[in-house]
Amino acid sequence: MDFTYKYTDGQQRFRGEVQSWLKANLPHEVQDSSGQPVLDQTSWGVCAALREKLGAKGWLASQEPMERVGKGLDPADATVLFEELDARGLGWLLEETAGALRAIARCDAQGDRESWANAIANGRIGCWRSQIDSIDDLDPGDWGIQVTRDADDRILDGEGIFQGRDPAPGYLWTLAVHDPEGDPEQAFSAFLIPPNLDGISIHPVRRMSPDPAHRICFDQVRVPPHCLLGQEKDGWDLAQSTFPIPFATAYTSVQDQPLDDLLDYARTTTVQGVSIAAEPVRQQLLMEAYINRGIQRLFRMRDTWMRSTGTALTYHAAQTRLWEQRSALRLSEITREVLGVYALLDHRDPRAPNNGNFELQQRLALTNSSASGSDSKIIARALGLASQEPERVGSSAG
Amino acid sequence: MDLALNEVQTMLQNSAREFMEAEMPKSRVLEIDDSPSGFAVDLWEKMCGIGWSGMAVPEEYGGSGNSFTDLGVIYEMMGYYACSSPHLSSAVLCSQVILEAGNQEQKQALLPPIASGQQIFSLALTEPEYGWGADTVHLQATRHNGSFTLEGDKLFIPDANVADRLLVVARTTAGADPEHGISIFIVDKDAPGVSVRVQTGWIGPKVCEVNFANVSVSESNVLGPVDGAWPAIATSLDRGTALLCAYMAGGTQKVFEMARDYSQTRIAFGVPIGTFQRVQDHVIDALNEADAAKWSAYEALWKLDQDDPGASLSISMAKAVASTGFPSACEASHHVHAGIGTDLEFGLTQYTKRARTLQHYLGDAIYHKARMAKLLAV
Repeated sequence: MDFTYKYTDGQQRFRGEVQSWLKANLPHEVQDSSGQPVLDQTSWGVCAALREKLGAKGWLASQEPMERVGKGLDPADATVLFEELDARGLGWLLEETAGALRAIARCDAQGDRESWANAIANGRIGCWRSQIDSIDDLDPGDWGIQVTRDADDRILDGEGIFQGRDPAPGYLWTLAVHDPEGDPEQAFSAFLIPPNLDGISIHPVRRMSPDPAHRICFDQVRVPPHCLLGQEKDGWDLAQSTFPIPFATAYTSVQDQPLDDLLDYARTTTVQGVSIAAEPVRQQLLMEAYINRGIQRLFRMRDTWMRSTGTALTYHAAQTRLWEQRSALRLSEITREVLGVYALLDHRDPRAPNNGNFELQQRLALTNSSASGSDSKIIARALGLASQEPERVGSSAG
Repeated sequence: MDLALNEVQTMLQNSAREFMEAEMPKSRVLEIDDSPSGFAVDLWEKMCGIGWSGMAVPEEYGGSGNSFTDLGVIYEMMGYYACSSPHLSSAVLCSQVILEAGNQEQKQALLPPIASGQQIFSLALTEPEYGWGADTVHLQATRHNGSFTLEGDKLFIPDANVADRLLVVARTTAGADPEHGISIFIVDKDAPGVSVRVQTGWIGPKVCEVNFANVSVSESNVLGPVDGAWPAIATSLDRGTALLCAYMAGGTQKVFEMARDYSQTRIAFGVPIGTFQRVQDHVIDALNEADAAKWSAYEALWKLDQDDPGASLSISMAKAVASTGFPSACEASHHVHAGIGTDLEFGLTQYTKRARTLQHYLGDAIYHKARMAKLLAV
């Protein structure tokens, strides 16, 4: 056995290249963001400029083939790139882009779609994507956007919640349902739609998550045929293969700045002359969070090792995600217990500990836990705990 | 990174599984648990016969000098089959204390019979003020005319009832530093003034109260330096704890599998109960505990083998995980099994009993989290 994760010389060289590039190109305010969401600390303009630079470098589409729009990096180097960006709170730039590009890549990238792919890969525009909490729980009867066919065009009607950090979308990536009563695998088509088509209206949604969300209404929107991704009714399969984006679970290190910050805070903050960390109850809670991170690291390491040896992952990736979601939620509880009411102060309050990032972690943990039901279902299925619902082909974790 | 067992470990795993499968059916586990001593001589002789008792002992002292990971593979299997034996007490904890603290003469005299299994040793450490740190050692050893006199009680001592000899941890000097002033004494269990009583309760493996009433020990039976034995004890406890974690991981895996299998076959309302989400949640919780226990235990064992400076931290993390996870997984499995799970002959309760006993043995989660905080300077 060997529990040390060793990067190859090639990966180390590439890491050096990435770090040098980031040092030269990252705006000052993002240089030391320590894994926190950058958009809370800086303006969109800074992020947009950075995205274009990453696009020009070819790193937004790092794994796409070079004959298309990408850099053609192998997965090991792509992981290093993601690690470096994620450590600076910028991993989402790759994730957002990769999702759209993977969807387009599943189709014949010709004509309009090729120019869209180029625009996205170059970082000039971004996509808003319809929110899918859990691909395994996708219920055609509960999906808000319907599609009907009219000659070669499709007509979209209804509304949905979309996510995307761009203030305005370059394109809308969505599923639309043909048959609300049908089998999920056959009920959806996927579309990449310009947002300026007649009948589309966009409304902001206020939510607890710092990630922006938008309600988009489709009122008899006529969508031309080239906006259809893949074949008719390929939507579920297409969404399945592009969601979730695998970056975050593909690397073994665990960026958990909120926990490191909490440990530092507890070490250095005193109450009646005694550090918070020395108080036995709080100390136990802090170590519980530390252990959760340790297990998270071991699960990731196991998954990476299984992938590297060609061992099939059954429940494993879903278990890792589930553990991470639960650990993040537990950390948010522990944060409140260790900090008391100070844990609720955000970055606007001068008395907020850690510039309000403890408060931010609590909201993010709750938001990101929304897919845990899906992961539980994947695990249950892999364990042979048959569901009363029809089995869906190709929905195993991995 | 390579999380696979090597060839030797794979072979050990297979042979241990075969051995346990043959020797430890659930009826046998129950039979041993129900016996007054909790000890099966024939099983122990067979374990020694295939060399398990000597695995932690270097070859020069009659053992086979295996790695801790090698032993961990065996311990995982022992835990999976709920095997009771004095192996951890004698072949691991006491052998390691002797290795770390003993002089050459003592090692040559004491280790070969441990390695062969001819003699069983038990480590008498914990006391009425139950704990695993040096600060809980109060039993007095008073020096007088070239010998020591032991006076006091030890509690919750595994295998003292079946041991030939005890390694008694006692305080020879009181002072501000609790780790200073601790010595180890080799005491025959049948020595005048020593009495052993098996404690009662829902405890497994069995533990004993050992009373020392004016027990005289010669200086030649002091193991290691007078007043300076704690470092050897702490090192040995770490090694034993890592292996205990592997045992608990094996037990946790078994109760998960029991829950999974039962939920696939037990029909309620015309369908397997595993189709109910609440039942699935219990099974998944047990799985998560099993995997967390397994990988944290193996990382700890690997670090021990590497002499990694972070080994103690990983060992404490693994024990905190196992001490919480094994009982939790048992409870989850009981929820899945409902009434039948409490039937002693069904087989689940033997694991629950061990989970609740071993939760405390060699330090519970509270103790190990506090130790982690100290190691991390939190």
